[in-house]
Amino acid sequence: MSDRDAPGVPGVGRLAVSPAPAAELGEPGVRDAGTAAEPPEFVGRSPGQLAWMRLKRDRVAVVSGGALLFFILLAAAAPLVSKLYGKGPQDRFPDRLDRNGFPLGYAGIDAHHWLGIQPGNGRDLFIQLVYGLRTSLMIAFTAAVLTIALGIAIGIVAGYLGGWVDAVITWVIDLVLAFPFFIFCFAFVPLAINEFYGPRDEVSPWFRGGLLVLIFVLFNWTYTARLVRGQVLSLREREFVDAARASGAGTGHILFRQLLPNLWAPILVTFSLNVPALITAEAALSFLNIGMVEPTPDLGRLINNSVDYIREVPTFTIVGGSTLFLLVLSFNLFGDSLRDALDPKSSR
Amino acid sequence: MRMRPRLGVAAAGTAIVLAAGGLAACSENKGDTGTEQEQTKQTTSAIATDPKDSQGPAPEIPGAKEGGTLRLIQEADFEHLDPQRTYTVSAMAVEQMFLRTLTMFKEDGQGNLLLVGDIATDAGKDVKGDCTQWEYTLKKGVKFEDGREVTAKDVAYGIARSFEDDLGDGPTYLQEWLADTGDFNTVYKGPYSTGSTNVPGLTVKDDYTLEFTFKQPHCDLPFALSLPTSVPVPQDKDTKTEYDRRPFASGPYKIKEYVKDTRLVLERNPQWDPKTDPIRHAYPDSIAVEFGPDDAAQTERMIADSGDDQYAIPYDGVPQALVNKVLNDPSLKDRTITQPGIFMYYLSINNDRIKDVNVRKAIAYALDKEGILATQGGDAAGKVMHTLLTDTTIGWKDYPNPYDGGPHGDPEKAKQLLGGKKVKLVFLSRNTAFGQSTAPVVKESLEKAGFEVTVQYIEQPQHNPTTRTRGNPYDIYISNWAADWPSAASTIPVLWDGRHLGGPGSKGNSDVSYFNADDVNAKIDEAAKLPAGEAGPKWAEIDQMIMEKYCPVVPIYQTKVLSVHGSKVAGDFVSDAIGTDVFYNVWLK
Repeated sequence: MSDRDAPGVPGVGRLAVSPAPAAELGEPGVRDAGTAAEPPEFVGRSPGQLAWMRLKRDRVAVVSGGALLFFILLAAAAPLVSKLYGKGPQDRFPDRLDRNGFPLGYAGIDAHHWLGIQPGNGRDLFIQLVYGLRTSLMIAFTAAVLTIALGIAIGIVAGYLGGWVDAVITWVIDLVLAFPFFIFCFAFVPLAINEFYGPRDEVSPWFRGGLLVLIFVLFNWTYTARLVRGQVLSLREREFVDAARASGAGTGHILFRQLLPNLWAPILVTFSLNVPALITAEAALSFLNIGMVEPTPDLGRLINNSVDYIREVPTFTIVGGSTLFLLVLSFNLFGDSLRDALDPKSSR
Repeated sequence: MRMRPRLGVAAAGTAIVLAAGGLAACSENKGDTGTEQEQTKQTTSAIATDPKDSQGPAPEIPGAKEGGTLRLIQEADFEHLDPQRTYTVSAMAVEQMFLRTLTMFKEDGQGNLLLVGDIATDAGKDVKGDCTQWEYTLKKGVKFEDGREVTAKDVAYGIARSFEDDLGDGPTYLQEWLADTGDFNTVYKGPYSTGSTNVPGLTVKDDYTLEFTFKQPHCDLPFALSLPTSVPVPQDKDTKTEYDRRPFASGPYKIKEYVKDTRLVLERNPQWDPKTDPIRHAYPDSIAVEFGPDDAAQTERMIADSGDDQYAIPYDGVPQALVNKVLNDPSLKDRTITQPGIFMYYLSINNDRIKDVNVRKAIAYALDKEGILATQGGDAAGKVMHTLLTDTTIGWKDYPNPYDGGPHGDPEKAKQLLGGKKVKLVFLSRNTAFGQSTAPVVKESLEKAGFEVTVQYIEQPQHNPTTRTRGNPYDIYISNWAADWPSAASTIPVLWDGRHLGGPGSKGNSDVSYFNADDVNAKIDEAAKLPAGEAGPKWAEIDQMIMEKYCPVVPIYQTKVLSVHGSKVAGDFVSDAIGTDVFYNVWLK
């Protein structure tokens, strides 16, 4: 972590030393033509602007960010896509299957079914994928955001206050870490459903999704909390914190206005690692039949179903697998780029 | 610019995806893969009247030779090898090779079944001609593995121990008939609990004669005695629950080694006399069962056909995902078995809840049976049915589907029957691959017809106990059934005779549709009084009557067996009586 350039320290906001028009237009030639006579002008830039500039210059960030945006838009616009595409996720096309339940033609791919047909139930693979992405992203994103928020809050409090508060929180973290995740899920999910729903009531997919988010948050906040606590421990003795304290700042101000801005880089990395990890964890729960169940489309279950067909309908496995792979890869690469861009010491 | 590691990762990742796409070998599926032309195999079956049919030895199979080790592969170990506790068909098939029963089905693999005497000299003598008193005479020279002769006392002891509560996992026909109550334990508790081996209704007249006396007529007794309940057990060799590990052999093989969940090895039993045995050949020198590999692994090994696997028969069939692979490979054709199976799947409608027959008929019209079957492997996994009995049942007769909605159901016809009513149905489905793949099809096809369907998933072990509890809160659920012998007497009275039903809250009901109609019950009583050989057409009439008049369930499909065996195996076929591979004709090339 950088201390001198800590962006949160009042008055130490970093000055970017670069000629303004060149940076804005991004063309080296302009500088000679327009500003040769003028003395070089120094422009103040906020850390956010700097990060954005660095990010724009990073080609990997642009590509992976673009891919991410594409996935997110596709998922968010699922009902619209379904309308334009003319098929819903529950629609079946039994005419496109052969007598043994395998798709006809080349995996069932044609002008009406862009990615082909799912063997067995005869659903359209493309619309399954779009809706599956929506479920997976929604659960993983919500869970990751809540995980990080909870982790940060608890981590900062533990690290800054220290003493018995820290001891208790650390103890709780150890306890949560020692809790067996899958056994808990097996016991908790059916129990929670039985608690809220009678035997004849339809279980809302939102309830199931919410339940999964809750479980993920309960089990994952510890990692962020420990990381943040460690960072805060090393930061709280720094001069800028002392300065703030000496100027009479309250605990809340110091915690969230002074310390937190210094923690964004590691937090973003954790977040970018958390989302793909949660996507795969959600897939794993669906695999064990305790995640999202039919008829809610789900990326994890789609991949799980496709594995058996790798030999006969390889496109089925490849389409689902590649989507998950690209999604996770984009997240990781973009998170990595973002960390670099936000790091005040970064050379790029 | 320096190639940054991140850029490398991105490039490599994209390349992997593209390569994977390219590897997806393009081959067009023209949809012409299928099993052989629909052969509705008419099962002909009878009880042997000529005692010569029950005499050994079994006629030689042309070209067959002795020797070698037959290998069987199964994913899970047998639940039980103790004959009185056995109720799974795979265990029955293997037990046939080292245990003998009073009667047994002699099959040719072409659909011809003949029930003959195995230990008995014939399939049984109906003493009074009204099916209440039966006499069995044992053959001389049938021996246990230690050389002593099998006597009527040993058969009676085997039946006696089947009454024990601790051994109560097997079929219960014989016990219920002898005790004349479903709760047979109240009449006789078994030899361990009472110290007595005298079973009510069962008389050992001498070493070779056994007599069954019933209060009610039971014309299907010769069939029921082909179940392993009638396997002889010498009292001094009975190790109670430990008998499961080492049953005492009376057939052509005996147990050499049995390591639970790992392997079972059978070796020749020199005491077995082929001259007493009308059915079994014992061509291989030994039989080795391997437990562990799943159906996909078994099929892959059969396709590879290397080493010992050439002598192997896998038990678990071809999984759906490999069906086209197997059927499209011409080199596998002559070692692939496709045959109608004995299991049927049907949508049970809870008649306690859905009392309106038009609603039940609407369900029958709307249900997409082909769609359900397609999720399980379509044509290779079974064929759609509309009768209550499978075509492997004696006397089975097809009749026009009273609720013919075409292969994918007819929502319009169903809407008419509902007459604008909005009916809510709660569908209980297993939380397994089967349940999760079939439930959406059931839901979608019924909702097209205007039903409102809620799917509830339940873990597999709780599914049947829940549906078998009277007063369960669910409206529809998929059940399956396999007849214990190919007579409708082991299906219709069990599944649709409402007089067996307990009151609300009672557990263990087999009539899971909770159907009860007096006119059907009366017909059942009539059919039950007929000799087993003549009752077939009568049962077929009842089948049609129940479906046309009441529609208490919707038959969906009857399973098919598809399996591949090793290239050096000959004489393997799937039994119509127990619905799995049987080995008494197998020889190794």
